[in-house]
Amino acid sequence: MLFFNKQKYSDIADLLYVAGTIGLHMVSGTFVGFGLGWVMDHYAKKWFDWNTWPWLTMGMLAIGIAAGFRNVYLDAKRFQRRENRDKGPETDDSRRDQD
Amino acid sequence: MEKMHPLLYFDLINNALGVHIPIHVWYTWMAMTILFLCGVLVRSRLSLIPGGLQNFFEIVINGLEDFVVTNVGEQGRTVFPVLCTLFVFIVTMNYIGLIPGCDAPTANVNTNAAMAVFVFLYYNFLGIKRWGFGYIKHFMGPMAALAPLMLIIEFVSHLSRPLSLTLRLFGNIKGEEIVLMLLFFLAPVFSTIPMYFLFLLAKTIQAFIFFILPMIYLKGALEHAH
Repeated sequence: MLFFNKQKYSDIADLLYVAGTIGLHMVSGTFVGFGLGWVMDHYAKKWFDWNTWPWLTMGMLAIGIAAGFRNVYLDAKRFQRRENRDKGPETDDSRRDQD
Repeated sequence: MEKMHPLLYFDLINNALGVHIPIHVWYTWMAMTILFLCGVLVRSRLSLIPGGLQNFFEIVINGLEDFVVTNVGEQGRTVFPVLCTLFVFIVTMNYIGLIPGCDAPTANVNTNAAMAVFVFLYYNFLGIKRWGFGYIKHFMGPMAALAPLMLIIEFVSHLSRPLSLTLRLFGNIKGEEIVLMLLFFLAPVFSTIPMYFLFLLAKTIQAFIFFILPMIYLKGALEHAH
């Protein structure tokens, strides 16, 4: 990484970064989907007097879960790309030191 | 949990002044003061051969700029000041939590939510400014047939970004504060000193994550859609 010259600290920092980001990305999509659906149900009842509960919430929850998995998929693709770049033939330790 | 703190300096000031400004606002002002003072100090004696404080800041800011430019490309230089400010500000606020008698402002959801919402608005603003109405292509995915579905999914996924940014920083910093407090009750000083080194690393990494993720979002908003 950046401030850590020693390989050991750099590896730990990389791992902590992966562990710190990937889990919450999946969960937060689910929560946002659920919240949006709940708000839509609430205001459909309040403004238009439609009894949509609980269908909008459930539909948006499903979409939120899909969005969470998509977040994790994109993250995994990005980490994979970085791993490949770090192991590539032209990127050895000298290159890493420049980063 | 703030009740468990033995002493917070700004609680005393609040009492003395008879005001009720929240603690995290006081400590945010403290972080701002520290950064302003550093800025004035470095600026007042700029020299061609950097020494001391100037040297330190040049290393940090140069390193961050190189990192941004290698990841985002040349156009990253236009957004670099915002990202660097985020990193320096957050790292200062995180370290304040390690000073005895102080509480990290980032251990409060409000501070983090403000920064995360700012990041969200900023990258969407830049994307709209750069692409105009074509920015919607960023939300439609690679296949035309799936575009209506992807539009909703991407919308939810984009809205989840500020939430995850907020909660990650809040959870990590608050957790560290609680662990320090509990260890201090168990075995004062003896057990907390080793944890300081671990948390110094962890707090830097949390600030770095809050710097990397907005960078990735900005990159996504500035580059071509798929």
